Amino acid sequence: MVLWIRDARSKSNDVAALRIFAEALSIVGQRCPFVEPVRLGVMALPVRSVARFFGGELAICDLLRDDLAELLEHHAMELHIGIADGLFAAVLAASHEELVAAGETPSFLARQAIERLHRPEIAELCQRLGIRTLGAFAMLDEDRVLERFGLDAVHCHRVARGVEPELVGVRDPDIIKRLHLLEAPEIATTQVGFFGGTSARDERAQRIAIRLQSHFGASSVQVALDKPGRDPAERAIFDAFAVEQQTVLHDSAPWPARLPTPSPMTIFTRPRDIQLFDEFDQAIGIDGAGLLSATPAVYRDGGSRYGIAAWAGPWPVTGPWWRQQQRKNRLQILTSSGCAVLASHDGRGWQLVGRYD
Amino acid sequence: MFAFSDDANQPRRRPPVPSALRDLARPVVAAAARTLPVTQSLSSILPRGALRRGSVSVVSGSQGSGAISLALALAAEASAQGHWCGVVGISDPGATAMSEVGMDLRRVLFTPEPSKRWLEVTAELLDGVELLIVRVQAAVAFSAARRLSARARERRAALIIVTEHRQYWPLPADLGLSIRSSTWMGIGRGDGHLRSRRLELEVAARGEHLRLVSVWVPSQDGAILVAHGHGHGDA
Repeated sequence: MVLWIRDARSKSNDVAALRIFAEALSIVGQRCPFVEPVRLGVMALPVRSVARFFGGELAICDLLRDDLAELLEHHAMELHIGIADGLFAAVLAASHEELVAAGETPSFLARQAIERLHRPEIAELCQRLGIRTLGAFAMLDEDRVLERFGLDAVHCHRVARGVEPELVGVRDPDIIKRLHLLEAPEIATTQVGFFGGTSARDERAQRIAIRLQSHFGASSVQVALDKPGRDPAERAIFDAFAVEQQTVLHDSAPWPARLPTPSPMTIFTRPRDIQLFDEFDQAIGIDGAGLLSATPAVYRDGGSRYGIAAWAGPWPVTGPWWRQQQRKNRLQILTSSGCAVLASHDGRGWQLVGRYD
Repeated sequence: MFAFSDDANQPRRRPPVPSALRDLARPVVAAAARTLPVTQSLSSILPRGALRRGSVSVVSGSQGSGAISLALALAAEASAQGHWCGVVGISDPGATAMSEVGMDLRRVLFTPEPSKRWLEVTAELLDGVELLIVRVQAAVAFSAARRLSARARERRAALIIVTEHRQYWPLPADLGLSIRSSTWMGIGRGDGHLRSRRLELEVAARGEHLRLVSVWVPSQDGAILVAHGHGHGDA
């Protein structure tokens, strides 16, 4: 028996469809634990053996229809059920909503169009030979098929005759893996491979990160990266999450701090220009000796003015030789309201680069 | 006649339970699985000394008062012990500062600006991390707060809300840490540097009296320290 769940509107994306399919599988699994996913939307269960238990094949169809009705209605999905011997025939039966009686499968197959094999080359060649049904194809001599069509055609020929139950390509080999990926396992309290390898919770977090990125874009989930040559106290060094980056992350050393600790908790990715003033409202800069030109009293950030209760610095930040021109000075400022910020002077003016949140 | 009560006069003695069986009979959920560890000094101000999985904590304080540092300090020990953490809505996090607080940045997922879809992002992240810090900058709708609390409970993750105003989170929280004042030490008028910060906290744990506690975030040597507290049981 094959249950084929089809998206009536074919609107939902792959992940949503996979999720509905997983739910349907678990519902069917409660009645028939032998159900197995074939590919997205298609599940198979050995029904001949259990039909008697449920009171016949029709009864089990009705039971499963009832079980799945709510889920499928909610998502506007259609259910097609078919019974036949062998997976290939059963999938075809489902697409026709046919319950093929035991022993009738070869004649059912014989009526199917040759295109149902999903082998365009074979179908085309057969058409030219006047062979339009699987039945006619099955009548051919196997040696002739091998001669004319090749090895894959022999396999198709056997399927068409009902000798082999499954057609290669009907199953999605990755469906079980995809279903597993979808399902977040319970929190693993024991951690495997803390050093080096990845633990269950590492995998879980990575999976969610990937899922989020697929919904909200790659930059929606970021990780901190230790990029040499950058000053983490000045620049936020974050990058979109990627599984390959995990190695980079695992090797990361303690983050170097070039300012006295603690470091600012917020680093503005777009630093704002500010002005420093002394008590006479004269602008303050840095003189040739690297000192403040006057005693700071106030700084202006946009339209707001903040009283300066205390300050420390300026500390010169000496960059690499090729950036000597961009020499910077840092200044810690404590406002009169008790908020601490980090300012930077680049030779021309002051910028607010961080806040001690 | 019952097979096992034929000798009713004698006091019945239980045979010793085989050790293999005793191991099997242990509680399925160990205490450690119900909670996430916190830095020892902070554990003294938390109910039962740890962050409960599935709980919601609200850390509130005005901008620059140290609310983010305090929230991260709550998460630091769990992070250091290998639990994955998520940080939502903190737009420009300082990596250095976070690792100074004790976060293991190798296991932190950041969603800096989730914008309008922060609720979906947060709900989804709760599937993958065991501790989630969410900064909210406006009042959260009742329905959204309920949904997140339910999700955290269901996924057994600890949710820490960071906000400027306690009222932004419309539901009662399992733990509320409100910063009443914040004082920096070590910085002078042109000398020294920002060294340590003392926070005066109001601790509201569910089912307990309100307490006032002083915490150093950070203390002089960079660690988190509880200075003193009032009304914590026998303390």
